[in-house]
Amino acid sequence: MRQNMISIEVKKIRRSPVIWISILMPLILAAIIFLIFMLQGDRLIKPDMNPYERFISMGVNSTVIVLFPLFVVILNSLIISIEHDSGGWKSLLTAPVPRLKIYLSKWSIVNIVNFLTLVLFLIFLILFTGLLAIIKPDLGFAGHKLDLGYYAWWFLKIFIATLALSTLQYQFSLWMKNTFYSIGIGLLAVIAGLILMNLDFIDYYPYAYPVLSYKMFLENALNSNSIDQALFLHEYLSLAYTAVILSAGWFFWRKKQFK
Amino acid sequence: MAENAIHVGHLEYAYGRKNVIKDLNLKVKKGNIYSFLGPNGAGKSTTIKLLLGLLIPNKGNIHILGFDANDRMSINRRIGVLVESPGLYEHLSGYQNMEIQAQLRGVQKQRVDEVIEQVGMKDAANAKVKTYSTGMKQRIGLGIAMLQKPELLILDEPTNGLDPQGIREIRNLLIDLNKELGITIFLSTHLLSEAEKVSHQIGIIQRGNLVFEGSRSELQKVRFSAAKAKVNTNDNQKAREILENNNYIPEEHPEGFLLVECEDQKQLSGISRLLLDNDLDVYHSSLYEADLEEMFLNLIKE
Repeated sequence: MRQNMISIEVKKIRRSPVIWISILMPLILAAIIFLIFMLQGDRLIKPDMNPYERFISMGVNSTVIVLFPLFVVILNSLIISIEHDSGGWKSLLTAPVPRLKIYLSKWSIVNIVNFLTLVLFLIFLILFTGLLAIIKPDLGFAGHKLDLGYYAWWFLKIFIATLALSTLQYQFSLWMKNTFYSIGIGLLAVIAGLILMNLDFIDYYPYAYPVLSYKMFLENALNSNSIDQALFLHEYLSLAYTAVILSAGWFFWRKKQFK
Repeated sequence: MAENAIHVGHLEYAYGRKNVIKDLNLKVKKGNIYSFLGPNGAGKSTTIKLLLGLLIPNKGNIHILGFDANDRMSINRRIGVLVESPGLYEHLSGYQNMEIQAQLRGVQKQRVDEVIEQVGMKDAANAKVKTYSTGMKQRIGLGIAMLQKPELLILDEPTNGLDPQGIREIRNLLIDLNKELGITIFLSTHLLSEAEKVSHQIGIIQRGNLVFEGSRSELQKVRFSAAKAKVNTNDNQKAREILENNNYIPEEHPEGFLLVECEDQKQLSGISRLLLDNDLDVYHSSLYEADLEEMFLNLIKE
């Protein structure tokens, strides 16, 4: 029997707050940036600036430091709490589905939603630049080109940077029935990342990775005027952490008892 | 082919240091309805979770439909389950819940419609589960258990939260499933009367120990051994003397009637006849059945 577990997980989150948060959060944030540019765009965009760069950077800057990592924390807790709250683990584990498949499909759905939210945010930002180009032509959008590949690569790197913290939060969410604890830990860890940002070992601290990806990508682009094709050290580490945490988590979860 | 749908040997389980299941042995014959009876906290739900692999036993072995408990896939393909609360997603409708469970079990959508009708939830299927009463949730839970046409149903308190009408309907449904489709049913309950109405086999658990396992008629015998005759006559003082002289042990109830140790209906009529033969008018004679607690005490004494 081969069940499409991802489609089952999608059915579970439809009509839940997860979907609304994932759509509304990027929409509202992009709309706020749009409003700022509507009101004060001429002050924000200097004559020699690419307005797209300015608009999208501002969008990323305002979210990636606290809001987006926190969103990933909440996303993990919310999606897993659907099973905790309903007692759904018992019906999942008594269905003819291997436990490993359950474990991986839950992790996958969290990170698919995480990825799609980032994609949506980029789409909303671009749509609003289009709107600005029409409503406020003096901001100069028409005179510049939108380099979609550049922004897509930037967002992809940010996504990769969130995977380690997301996988860690996945473990907390699996074991802590009360979302207050898993979200609390995540919130503290994100804030700790901001405090520790200038220390040497920050490359090893997963909760700081999204900010690092944002900053380093921007610095790199400014200094070399070209896009760095390679991943940064912390992005490779994010992938490595993800693999290790996911495997270690499975080692314990496969024997978890459901009282 | 295994003769037993469930075979449990020397099962032990502890929550921390507290032993909740102690050397439990169970044999559920294929094709039977087995009621697993016990007061709240006796270990019924824990036993069911052990059967389902949600808890891992400290000792002992479990075989379900001939498969070792570790072979979860083979077992889960063949059983339907209802544990404690039915595990429904409250933000979705009953129908959507069933669809998800059907997909998890590789069952066709058409089967969802059949089952919804069978558990009497057709009209409310599209309402959100959070608007359901406990009884409605229980019905959907039962429907989910039946989705994959299981060989064995394992149900934890299936009539929990249902009104008398609902209890009757579920009872009849279970009897039909057992008779018509030959599904073996293992259900836990704390209601002796329920167990007696549906079961071929009854097991009684008390503080983690199985204190009785047998057929319905065997249970009846045990029940009557704990029973007493309730007798009222025109002269209870004289009746008491007569009974004592005939090796009965009567006692006076505060409400005025007599209670006499009595094993069964036959002995009860013997008591009545004895009193009538001694020129007493017998106003009332009936079997004063022990309630569940008294019966448990009796079983433990044995």
